[in-house]
Amino acid sequence: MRRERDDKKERCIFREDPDYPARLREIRGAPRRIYVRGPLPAAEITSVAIIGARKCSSYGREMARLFASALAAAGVQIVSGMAAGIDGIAQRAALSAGGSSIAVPGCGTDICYPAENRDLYEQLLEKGTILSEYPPGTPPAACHFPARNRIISALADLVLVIEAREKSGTLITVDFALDQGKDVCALPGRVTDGLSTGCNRLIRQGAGIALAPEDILSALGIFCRKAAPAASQNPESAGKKTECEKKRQEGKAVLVSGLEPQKRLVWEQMGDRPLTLQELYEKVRKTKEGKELGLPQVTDILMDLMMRELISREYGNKYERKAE
Amino acid sequence: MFNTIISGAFCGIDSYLVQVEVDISQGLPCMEMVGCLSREAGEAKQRIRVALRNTGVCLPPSRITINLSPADRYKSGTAFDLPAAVGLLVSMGLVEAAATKGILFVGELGLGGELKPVRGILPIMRAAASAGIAACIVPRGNGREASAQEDIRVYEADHISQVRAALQAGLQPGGEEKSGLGRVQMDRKGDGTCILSAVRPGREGEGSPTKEREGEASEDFAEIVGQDSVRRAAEIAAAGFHHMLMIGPPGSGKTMIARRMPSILPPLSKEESLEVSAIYSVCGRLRDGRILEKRPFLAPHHTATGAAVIGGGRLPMPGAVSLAHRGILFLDELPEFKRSILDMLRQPLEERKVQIARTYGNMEYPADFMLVGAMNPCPCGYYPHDRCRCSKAQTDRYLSRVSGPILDRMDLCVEVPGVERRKLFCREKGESSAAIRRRVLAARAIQEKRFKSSLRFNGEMGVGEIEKYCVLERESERKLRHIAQTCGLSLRACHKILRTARTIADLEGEEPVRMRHIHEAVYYRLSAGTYWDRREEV
Repeated sequence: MRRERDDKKERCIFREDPDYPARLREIRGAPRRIYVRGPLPAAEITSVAIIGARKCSSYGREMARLFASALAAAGVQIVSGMAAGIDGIAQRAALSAGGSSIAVPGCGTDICYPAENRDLYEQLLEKGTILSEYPPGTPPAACHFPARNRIISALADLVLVIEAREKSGTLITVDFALDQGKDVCALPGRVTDGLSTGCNRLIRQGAGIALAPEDILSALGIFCRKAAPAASQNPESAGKKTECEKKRQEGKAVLVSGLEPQKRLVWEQMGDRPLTLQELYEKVRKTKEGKELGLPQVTDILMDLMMRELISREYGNKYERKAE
Repeated sequence: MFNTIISGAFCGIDSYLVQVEVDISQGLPCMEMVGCLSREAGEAKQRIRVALRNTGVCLPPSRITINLSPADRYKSGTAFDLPAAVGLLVSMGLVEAAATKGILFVGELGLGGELKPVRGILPIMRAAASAGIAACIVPRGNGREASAQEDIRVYEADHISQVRAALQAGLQPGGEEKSGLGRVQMDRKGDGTCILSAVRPGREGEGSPTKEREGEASEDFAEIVGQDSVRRAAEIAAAGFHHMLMIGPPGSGKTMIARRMPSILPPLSKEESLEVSAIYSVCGRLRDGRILEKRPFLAPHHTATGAAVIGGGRLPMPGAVSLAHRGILFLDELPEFKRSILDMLRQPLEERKVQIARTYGNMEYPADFMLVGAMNPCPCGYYPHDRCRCSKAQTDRYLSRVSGPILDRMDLCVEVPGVERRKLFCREKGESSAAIRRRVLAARAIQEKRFKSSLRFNGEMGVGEIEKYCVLERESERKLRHIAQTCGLSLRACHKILRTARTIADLEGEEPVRMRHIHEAVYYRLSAGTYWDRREEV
């Protein structure tokens, strides 16, 4: 484990200190001291914890990005664990949307874990905050992660779960949040999707349903600068999408309708479920028009669609339509 | 009395002629063998003494010196028994010196005087042919192998006394005629017994190459249900000699497909066959001395040591990479191999040969193989599926055992999806190996015509050849550049894609490389990225 150079001075703050974050002081089991790099979490800035599975689907990835950037743009601070998967994606998106973010790692603040998140770590050192109850040099350990989750939920006003399996570490954070009296929202997913089981269950148990970033903002009592005021003035346009989004979708529709018939056919066969080339090929072969298509042709069309950015690639070499 | 007999030795797969000099002179009775000999080569004197005595020849009580020249080269093996014994017979005046001129002798002696086959006949014959030797006498069992080298008449012998009798009767190289038969009785004593038999040159030999063909037919692509994308990748790999990696859950048929790949490979050309057979000959692995006709398929277990894979030993012997020369090296469960061993493959993959330096020699073995790898996507094997219960760290660790440089050498990466259970007892059969092979051979013929003799396969093309033979239309060029940019492909990756695209076009019989060929090549090249590329991009 490589320790970082100590160029950004790290501060150690005791529970008794006046700077100690108020949100943290309130909770049960508040750490006796915390180590902070970057500005301290301020009580007046609204914060949302976006958490989820390390191994996430492209749906989760897409949604984490969407929520984090929208919330950050509305001035909300994103708290998370800097872990692989949803955590890191949300924090990256928040920072690149010009927002701020707090990371609570399960190790000392001088250690970048996981190593693949080095870019995020560097960005956080510059623009965000890294906060930990573990002294510098503490390596990440399995027992640290559940404990740090209480800090994540404590620093947030609301916890948003993007993707979680039925038995997931993410749910530990949710338990802490409920214990600490924070709101919990979950992103619904397909019932058959193992990665959404945890979220769907939370919703059944009464968690808020996060259909759009606006839902979170209204739960926090913030009115969205663009969509929300319009919604309040004109109830008809409530369901409508923003201008920019509309344009983008129109452009895509033109792109799809302009496809040659064979490409169109392949595109239509791509459901929302990610498919491997083999599955796609078999599906295409079952249709009337696609009987004559050979595997090389389907491969060619698949790559062509991908280069037109109509479809995206998933783990395990699966392909699906790009989220709208 | 002093005389010289010609024999041969090999070092790696290089070979040279050895002069076996025998001298019997006055002095204290003793027998010495000199000339930088290994232990088994030096022990020849005991075998020779007893073998000759048991065939009725007692060595005289004189000082006998046997020197193997060039005396400074380390010689091992037991091939010098026969020439040394013949040298003694000449020195003792039992055989005319002139009768042994122009004949090369190799063979191991048993204590009863019987001759036993030795390793490395094929390279020795090559040296003999280039030195203009006309005939050779080899133990029974080595004859067929020796006769693969043209321009040399090969005689097989069972026993030292046969050799002696043949030489006494005056076996004249060039003195006998060829008969139409595969094997001819050459010299007859008065009583009509066969003394030596000549082996007619030619690869066919007699008997059983058909058996091998039957064995080949038993593993057929027809037995593989579905898996079209893997079959396609295998076809492309076979046609252009591209390296291939298969990723998939346990039981999806990765090993099955790999084992069937030899059945769609083009056959070895004569020249290639001799090249590969020479390696097998050095290892003593030619079955019944039959020259290889099928491309080799090597599948070392993942516990194999470096010496077994790359080659090694005190006197470096070829390893799996060389035994798979011009054929397939199949590494099943790729991440289970020691990382150091996988990284050792980098030199042979790059240079198509291995250099091994040991105490007794610095050997270079050819190692131009097609690497076929198979692996699970994670320790439990089901990674993208919900069934997978490995943590991300576990999966990452597992995947990282296959180093980037090795991964980068893979032209084709393809995922092998688990077969759906309803297909399990499905009657329908896949395309047979024969049909696939026809297409592969057609593509091979195109490549042969294109490269003449400079190269064999598209997979071997260098940068110069790629520029020459993979000319793209302007539009395709622009698109490929776009792909390279969006997917972050290196220049090397682009070259690999072009090579694969060339093969795909050849399979189609298309002269220019079109965008659809590029697209397919890109697909197979990018597949690996979805497993290894761990960065989350925003």
